Amino acid sequence: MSDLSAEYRRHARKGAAASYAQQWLLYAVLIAGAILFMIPLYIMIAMSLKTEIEVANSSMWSWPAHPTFANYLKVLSDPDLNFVRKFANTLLISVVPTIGVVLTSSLVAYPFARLQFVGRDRLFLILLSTMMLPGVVTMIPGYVLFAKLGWIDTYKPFIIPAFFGGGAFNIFLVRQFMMSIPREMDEAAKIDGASNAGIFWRILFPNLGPVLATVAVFSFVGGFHNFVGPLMMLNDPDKMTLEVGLRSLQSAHKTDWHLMMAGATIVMLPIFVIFLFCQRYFIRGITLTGGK
Amino acid sequence: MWLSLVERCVRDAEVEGSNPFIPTPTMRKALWLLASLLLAAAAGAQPVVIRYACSSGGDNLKSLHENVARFEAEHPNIKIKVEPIVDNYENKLLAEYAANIAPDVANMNANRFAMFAERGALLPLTTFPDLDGPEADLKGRYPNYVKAFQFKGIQYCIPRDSPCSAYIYYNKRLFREAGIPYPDGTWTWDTKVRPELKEKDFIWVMQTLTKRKPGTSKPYQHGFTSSWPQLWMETLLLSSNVRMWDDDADPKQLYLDRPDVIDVFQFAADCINEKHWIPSNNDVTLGAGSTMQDEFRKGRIAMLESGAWEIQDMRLKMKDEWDIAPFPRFARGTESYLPGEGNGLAIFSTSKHPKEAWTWIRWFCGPKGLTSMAQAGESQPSIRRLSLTPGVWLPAKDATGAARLPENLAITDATALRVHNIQVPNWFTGIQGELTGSYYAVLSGEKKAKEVLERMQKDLPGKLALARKRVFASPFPFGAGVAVAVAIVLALLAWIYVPELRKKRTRSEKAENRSAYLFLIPWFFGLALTIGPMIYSLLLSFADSDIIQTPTWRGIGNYADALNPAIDDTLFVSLRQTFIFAALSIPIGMVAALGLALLLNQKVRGVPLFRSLYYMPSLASGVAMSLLWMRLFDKDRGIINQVLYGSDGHSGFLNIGEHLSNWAGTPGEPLNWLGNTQTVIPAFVIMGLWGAGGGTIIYLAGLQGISQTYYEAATLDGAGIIRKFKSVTLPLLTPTIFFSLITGTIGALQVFSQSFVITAGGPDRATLFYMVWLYGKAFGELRMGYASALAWILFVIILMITIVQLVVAKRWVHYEGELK
Repeated sequence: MSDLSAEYRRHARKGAAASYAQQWLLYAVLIAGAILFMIPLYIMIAMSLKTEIEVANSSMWSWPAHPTFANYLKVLSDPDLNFVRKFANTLLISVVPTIGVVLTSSLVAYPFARLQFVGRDRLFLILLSTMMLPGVVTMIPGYVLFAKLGWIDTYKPFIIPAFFGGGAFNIFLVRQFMMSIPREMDEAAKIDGASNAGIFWRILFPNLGPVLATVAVFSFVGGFHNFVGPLMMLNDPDKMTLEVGLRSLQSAHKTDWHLMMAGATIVMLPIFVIFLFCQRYFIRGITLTGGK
Repeated sequence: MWLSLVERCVRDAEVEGSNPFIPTPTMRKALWLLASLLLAAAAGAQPVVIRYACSSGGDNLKSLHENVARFEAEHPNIKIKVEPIVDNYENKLLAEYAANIAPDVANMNANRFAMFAERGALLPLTTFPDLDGPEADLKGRYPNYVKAFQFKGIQYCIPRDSPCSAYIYYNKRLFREAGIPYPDGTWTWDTKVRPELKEKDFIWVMQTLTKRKPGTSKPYQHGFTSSWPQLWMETLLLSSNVRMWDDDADPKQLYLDRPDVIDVFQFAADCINEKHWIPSNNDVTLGAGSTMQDEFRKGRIAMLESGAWEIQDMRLKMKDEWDIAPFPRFARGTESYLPGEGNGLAIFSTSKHPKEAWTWIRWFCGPKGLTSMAQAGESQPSIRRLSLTPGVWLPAKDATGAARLPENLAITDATALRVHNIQVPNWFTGIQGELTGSYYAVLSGEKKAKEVLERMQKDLPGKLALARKRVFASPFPFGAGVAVAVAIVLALLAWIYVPELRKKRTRSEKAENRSAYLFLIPWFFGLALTIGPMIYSLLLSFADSDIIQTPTWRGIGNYADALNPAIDDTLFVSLRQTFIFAALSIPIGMVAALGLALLLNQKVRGVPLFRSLYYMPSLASGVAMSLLWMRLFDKDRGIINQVLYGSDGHSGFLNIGEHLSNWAGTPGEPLNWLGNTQTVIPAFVIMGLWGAGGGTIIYLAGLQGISQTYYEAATLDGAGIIRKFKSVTLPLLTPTIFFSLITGTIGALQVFSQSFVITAGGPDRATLFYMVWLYGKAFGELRMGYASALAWILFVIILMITIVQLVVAKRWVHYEGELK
């Protein structure tokens, strides 16, 4: 093993010198791409720092002549919006479902990826088929079902289904990742007498870091940005989320761009921070193999 | 089965609601009522809570809360719970009504309330004795608004504000400079300039106020604009009373190819594209967030057509250099109507407290509520007396400064009485939608009015006949429906389990089977929540259903109609466009996301930050994104066209622009990306690239799953970067690629929001994607049965494609941990 690593390091060093130019090229490409992808962000922030008059009179591209945080203050202090309350509601319907999805999507994915059971492939097709029917036609019966269960105007429609596997998209994603993990360790544990639950919990789950981080990011962002869900399922303005609350700052016949952009920036910031933080889990790769 | 329950509740509510105030003959009941009232009073009288749904936001919502507080102070036994619905207003009301949890009171639009009233969802207000009392005061309101809220002669809503959207705001300074007297409202318009009438001809005024610098064709000052493009067309059609169909209540025939219709359509477009009296969006440099209103206030446009709601802003931002005039009458007509979107309040028939609900709407739409809203500058009262009283909506006599305006006090009756709401039946809204959609093609100058209208006169009667074919069928057999649903579930179970029944299993296989099902338990609960609504929509696809009423049996009629191109070719057109989009967007999107992932998987400093930055557009405000796209794809000023054609229009990069123009069928002109049938889908695909960050993080996760040992081994074998990518990365990434392919296909075939938000299906049905069409059927025309049939057709198509992909996958997807 150590021989092998030494050999590898030698190769890697030789590559390092040659790739000095490559690295600069890489940064150039990364920065150029980042500029392209940051344009919408620039527009948002620039507009959010302008006054209503300046928004109307200046080009979209211009940086505000006198940047002002008045729009942010207005959004944060508006008594009807009640930012703190709405922010807490939003956190609730993004964090709790995320926990549910991370836990249960891997549970459900495990037999599809690893176990032999009756009807597996056909059940898998049924799993996929739940993504195929347009939501437009199941919206009303789904709403009626939730109403019959007494879930309307509560957070249950967002939280409970998340603990039921979190939907086909997530289960399928985790299953794909699980299937690419070699089976040697499972087999060894099985021979040592480990149960399926033990194999899942001790061997597979710790290796799902990258894919569960992805699932968590999607679930969190989805919950944070969810607009139609809270709009339909909740009635009480005090239970509403940020995204819906921010929309109700808008009057009927005009668009208050300055407020809208300040609100959008405020909604985006926490997600950005959390995403930066989650990076750790993306990089932490497979620990199954290698020097252990 | 749910809907039949709903129906029963509605019937009950109707029985209750129809005569709640007729005194019961039985003395006992009255005594009992009295006793319970006394008891309630003794217990501290719990106030009745009335849920009030509205679409108000911003300042309107604040003033609504103030009004609610005043009302509650006057009526301590009633509490108003305001439920603002900031989007999807009607859809939410429909869903709530279907679930039997509708609010007590809701705002209704004059053009759309009939869809609720027609189906018994609203309480007829004729049950209340004081319709002409001092608060409801129907006799004191503008009769056309009162009538606008009647359905088959029955009053369902109390009109709140006076809705005219065809006031002409004019810039006094520009009129003085041009030597034109301020308009007094006696002007007229015709489809050509009539210089002999001078300022009495609206079109002459428009022409005269359009100013050009010598030697240029595009003016620096335009004569007129409407605050949104369709309003101009709509106003001309109503004002000239040119009819596009015979009977509003029951349209049987279309008159689209009549010369007067073509004349008005073409005139509307010529004012913009030929004469430049009206700016197109390309003519005015609309800064981001700058609107036609802003351009008007800056003096770049002399007249603006809009509603009374602008007054507040005008006073605030334009001081006193403006006033209002009514939209001119048509020179050659007798009746001259104006467009308006009235707001009224209605009580749902399911309300348990109709009396208290009535107390609220009577107060809110009565003198107290209307006066406070008018003084806040929100709306013009529908009670004529209030509308004419200075100091309510019009400026007070002693007002000073900007608050003096508008000065022209004669406008109130002159416009209010001309507003006309066209009530068409729901089944006609699809055809009406196609007509409205054609405004864009004509107004943008892409097509001649004659061409568009004559083609529609050929296409639409078939659709009209289909829509008219009302099926007087028996109610949907719900008993049989339940049986079929059970049969479907049993059939699924049989399909899953029968093939493996005979198989003999060892004990360890049985144990594995048991534990697998234990792991699956959460998913079975989830499946129960999803599959119920799915089966219900399958049953509904064999029915006619408008969400509100009991569905009626339709057999395979929905499928037969949808699949018969002789009746309606939209299915095939929209499928074709959807597949074109999918064929372009799936591979391009996947390659872009994978490429980005490889780039962001490099182990160099700062990469985590870059990953976040590349994911940002997926988190950014959708509005910021669409602003960006408008700038990118703009025909004259867009960045993409700047590169393709150069700043002078001819010196673009490698002349690609000219080739593209030739290909798109508009040689010699810059590409109108979003307005050209050839380029609008590629433009959507390019927009989609900004969302590649989402796919990228999926690939990144997949890349982390590849063990370093493989790369080490490959390095030892002397493999270079490309070789490593081909023989290690790519094969081990196939499970992730496969995932992207399956979910990407499903997503692309259900593409919706770009078209729905940006192009609304146009130009010329090029972005009428399957889901856009389906959504229109479901929530535009309320044909849920037909929409369900469409959804199941799409389901079968996607299922087939997925099965093929699953079969083919066995050859190319490599699973390290596959069961051997």
